[in-house]
Amino acid sequence: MRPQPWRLEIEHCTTFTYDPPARSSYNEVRMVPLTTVRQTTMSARVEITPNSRQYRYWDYWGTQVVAFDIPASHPQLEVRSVAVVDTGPAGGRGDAGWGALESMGSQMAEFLVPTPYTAWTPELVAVAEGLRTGGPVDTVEAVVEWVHSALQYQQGVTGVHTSAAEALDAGKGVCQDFAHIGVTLLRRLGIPARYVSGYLHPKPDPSIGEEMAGESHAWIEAWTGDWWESDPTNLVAVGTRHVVVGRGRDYADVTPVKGIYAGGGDDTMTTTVRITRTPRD
Amino acid sequence: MTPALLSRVAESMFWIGRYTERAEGTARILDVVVHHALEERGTDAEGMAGRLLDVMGVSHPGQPDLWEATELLCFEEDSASSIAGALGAARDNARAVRHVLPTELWERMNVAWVALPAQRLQARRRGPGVFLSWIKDQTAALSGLTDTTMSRDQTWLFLTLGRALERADVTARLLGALPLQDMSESGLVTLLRSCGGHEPYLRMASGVVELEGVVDFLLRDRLFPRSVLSSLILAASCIDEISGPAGWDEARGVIGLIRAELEFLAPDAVVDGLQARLARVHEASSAASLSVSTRYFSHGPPTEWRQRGGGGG
Amino acid sequence: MVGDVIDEYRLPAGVFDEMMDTGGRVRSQYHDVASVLAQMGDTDLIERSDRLASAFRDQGVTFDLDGEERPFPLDVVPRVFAAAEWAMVEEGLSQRVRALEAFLADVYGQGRILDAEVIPRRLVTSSPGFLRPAHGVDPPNGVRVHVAGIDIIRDEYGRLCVLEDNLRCPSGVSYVLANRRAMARVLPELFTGRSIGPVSDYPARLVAALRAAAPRGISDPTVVVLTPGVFNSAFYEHALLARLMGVELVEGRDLICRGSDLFVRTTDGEMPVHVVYRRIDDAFLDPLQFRPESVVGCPGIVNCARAGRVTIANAVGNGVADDKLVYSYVPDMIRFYLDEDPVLDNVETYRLIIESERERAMAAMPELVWKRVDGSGGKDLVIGPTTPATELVRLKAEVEADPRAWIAQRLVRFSTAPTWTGDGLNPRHVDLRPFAVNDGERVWVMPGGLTRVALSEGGLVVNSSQGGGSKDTWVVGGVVPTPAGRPPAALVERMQGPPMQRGPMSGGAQQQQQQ
Repeated sequence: MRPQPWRLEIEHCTTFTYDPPARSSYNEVRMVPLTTVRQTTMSARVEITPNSRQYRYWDYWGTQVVAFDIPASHPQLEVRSVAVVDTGPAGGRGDAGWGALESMGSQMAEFLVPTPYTAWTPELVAVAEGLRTGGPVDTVEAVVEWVHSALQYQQGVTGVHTSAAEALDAGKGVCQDFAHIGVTLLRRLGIPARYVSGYLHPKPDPSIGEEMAGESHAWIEAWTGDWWESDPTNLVAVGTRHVVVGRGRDYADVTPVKGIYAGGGDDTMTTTVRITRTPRD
Repeated sequence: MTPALLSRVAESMFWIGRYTERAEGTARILDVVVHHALEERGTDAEGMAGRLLDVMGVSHPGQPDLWEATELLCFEEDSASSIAGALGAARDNARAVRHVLPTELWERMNVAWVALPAQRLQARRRGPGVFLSWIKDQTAALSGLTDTTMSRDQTWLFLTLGRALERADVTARLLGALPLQDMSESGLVTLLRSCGGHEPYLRMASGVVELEGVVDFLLRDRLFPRSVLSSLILAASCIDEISGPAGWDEARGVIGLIRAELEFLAPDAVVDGLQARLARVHEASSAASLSVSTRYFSHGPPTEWRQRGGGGG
Repeated sequence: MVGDVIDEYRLPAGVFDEMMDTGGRVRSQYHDVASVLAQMGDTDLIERSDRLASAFRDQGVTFDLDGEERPFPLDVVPRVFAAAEWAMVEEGLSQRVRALEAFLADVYGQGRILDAEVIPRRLVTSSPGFLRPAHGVDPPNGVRVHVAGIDIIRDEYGRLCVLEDNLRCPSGVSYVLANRRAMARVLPELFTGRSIGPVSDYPARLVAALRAAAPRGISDPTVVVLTPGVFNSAFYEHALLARLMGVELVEGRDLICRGSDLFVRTTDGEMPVHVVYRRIDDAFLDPLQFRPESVVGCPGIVNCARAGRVTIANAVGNGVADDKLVYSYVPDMIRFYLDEDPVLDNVETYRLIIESERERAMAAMPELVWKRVDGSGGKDLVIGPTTPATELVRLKAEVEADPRAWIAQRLVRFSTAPTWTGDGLNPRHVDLRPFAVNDGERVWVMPGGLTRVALSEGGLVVNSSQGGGSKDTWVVGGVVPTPAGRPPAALVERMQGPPMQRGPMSGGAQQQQQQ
């Protein structure tokens, strides 16, 4: 029996504090959930404080971007994104064999080559070689399980600039690192893989109306005749709990808040995600 | 009001005016000081040199002689107070805005800059006089081209404003550079000659050369273009043209106050407290310059951006 | 006349000379120039040569090398094209620009040519010049290549072929304008009685194309030239173009984006800007999208262009077409998009990502020219025959490690042209950078272009940074059209001025009194 779709309300709030205040800043926010075969974005809005005019566009990777600038001096910048999304269970995985993957090589090229975050170090190459089993679908599962076991989830050890190889070296990391290692290995094995940015509901079976502290999350997609998702951090089936915001080669393509600011001070960031399963009426 | 100008271009025009005027003014000051030291018997040449460098705002360790002072004021390339430095800085500014300068004006400025090293060698062999008169020829040509080839738009107005403010300042320095009280009649004539004011003065003063008259003439003659007051009047009229007559403008206010002081001074009081008055002219000139910068040139240096990463779990 | 500079001109073996055929006869388009030069003595040529140099120094016609302003040496002998051959160059360049425009629109849009596998997708997506932030930026009149500088050489057989495409910020056109002006002043006798294709209307053509590219709904656009500043090697050119187009020359710090609009800071506050002819590389143009440490760019400008409120010329992302491996596919683009055969050939190029071609190229390594796909200015260029074997071994390893980053080409000993070398006319290798301007209606090719000359004997590197010089480049013998907007001579009224007035002490009256 297919699980029922969920309706999720997500509120994602990010605050940057500058000391001394920033003189001006230019920003791009990637926080609006996608509409895909598995999910439908019912509504989404982004609020900026200080208030500024927003310009929206879809980028090369198909992610919706909200761009804005703040021309005046500001000690703090708050970005609040509120979205209502209907999510469904995972779709099919396809059944492409190794030969089919190889013939797709050039068309899928972007998802088969390393990037600065997902470089092929000798260690990662050796790991990849040991994970090839049976067909591509089995191999993806093997890779995801291996990544889940190779890394211990711990915050504060790695940062936003940590590469797959560095995280593996540390043996600890967060969802971004799990996902980077996963796509690195898959690409090395010739399986097209992309990095997914989004949100995860913390509970497998939440009650309706209960607001939870959620998290912004990252997982992966592999192509084996169809694109399908896996979550190496949690090793759970990707489905109603997962809300997709953007897909790219690595974190750099889907950074939730990207920006530059003028003024000498350092910035500190705090972020909260609240996620509520709401009734579908 | 005239059409607006790019702030950075306006700033460069302003400084082209200031620097070329400074080169000319410095040449005129040096000319008279060197003459005075050589021609007047019993002049304390070393004292003159120190006084000259002080009045030009050039710091100098020890007791330079007149030739060292001349060398510093003519050729010190990195100094904004030397002729070569001012000419180089004028040319650098001109290069940055050469797209708005008449070709002849730019080429004239560039040719002068290209010729500087050769002129310096000449001056080593033949003394500073040749160099100083060459500089006066160059700046005369530049002024001529400015007046005959530039439209009277904001490019010309900012250049002329810079020139006028600098000229007020330089003429004040000229008066400050000499031991006026001790100067003979021939010394005063040299002073007048150095700024081309000998004949106009004689016509104005019916041939009587005396200290009060000369100081009065250089300080506030309304018809002589190098007098402090004439320069201030020109500066004020440029500001009026740029900003339009309405509304408060700080630079105009600053200039108005010092103008009033000069205009309403009793003729027999011009020599008393002259040094303090000259200092107020310097202050007013730099305050006006700063105010013009703040109001019109507010582009600042290139911004350095910092990237912020962030978001994501 | 015996012993003149033309008689003494000696051809090297095995190359095509622009002036003289192998039988020692002067080609017809050079007849006039050769006969004037033959009448000049060495002293005269030395003097003219010096005057050209001092004219450039006085005008400040310089490029910046290692922080020093240097004049760009101009040779006294022009390079001459026959009009008939030039017509072919025009056609070939226009065709190439149209195909490249279609390619850029395609790779930053639908990607038809990639779906059709005429060009492998992985080749485009792995190009350092393929900029994903340019995806979805649709220029208002469809033009991305407002100015193209497409380098052409003539091979040993006299065939003109394309060496590389420059669709980002092609530079050098200012030297074309300055060269013509200096030559007309210093060597007027070369010009008398000849119809030479005019170059002086380039700025008018460019500004017209820039205005035509303005955002929709802007009838009287403000156009600016964006320069990195006075320390950029091509600053002279930026200033000249701004002056001749009558537009403002701005630096990044003069600009500010607010919302999706772009403004420039003036003495009267912020004024809107609509078209930016930028001479800043993509990487430094917008610190929000590209290198955040850039201090010469303007953050937000790419999104202003995406919103259709500002036009950036040339467009962001054109570098993918300058990629030397992509270059090798331009003939395929011409067939795919235009269904035409290429008028101008490419130089034979090995695509090293294809194993069989790589093997053939490796086997012939010491005979070939090796170039990095994103190299320019004569850098990252290895000329096989003049490179020591140890260097080639290292190059081989580098190519094996990253074959996508390199191409190999047949070593073309490109044509020579007579050049004054201080003691006579001698053959020196020359290339050509013609300039094409696309206003969206048609591609206009300036008659002539920048001929660069390798000043060392036998040298094949012509870049100014590597000691190259230049030549005024003429197209002669064709019909020179009357510039648009000028009435026929018969219709111009001629004023008969009254005699000049005289003052009391001047002229005839005084002389009469004295008599």
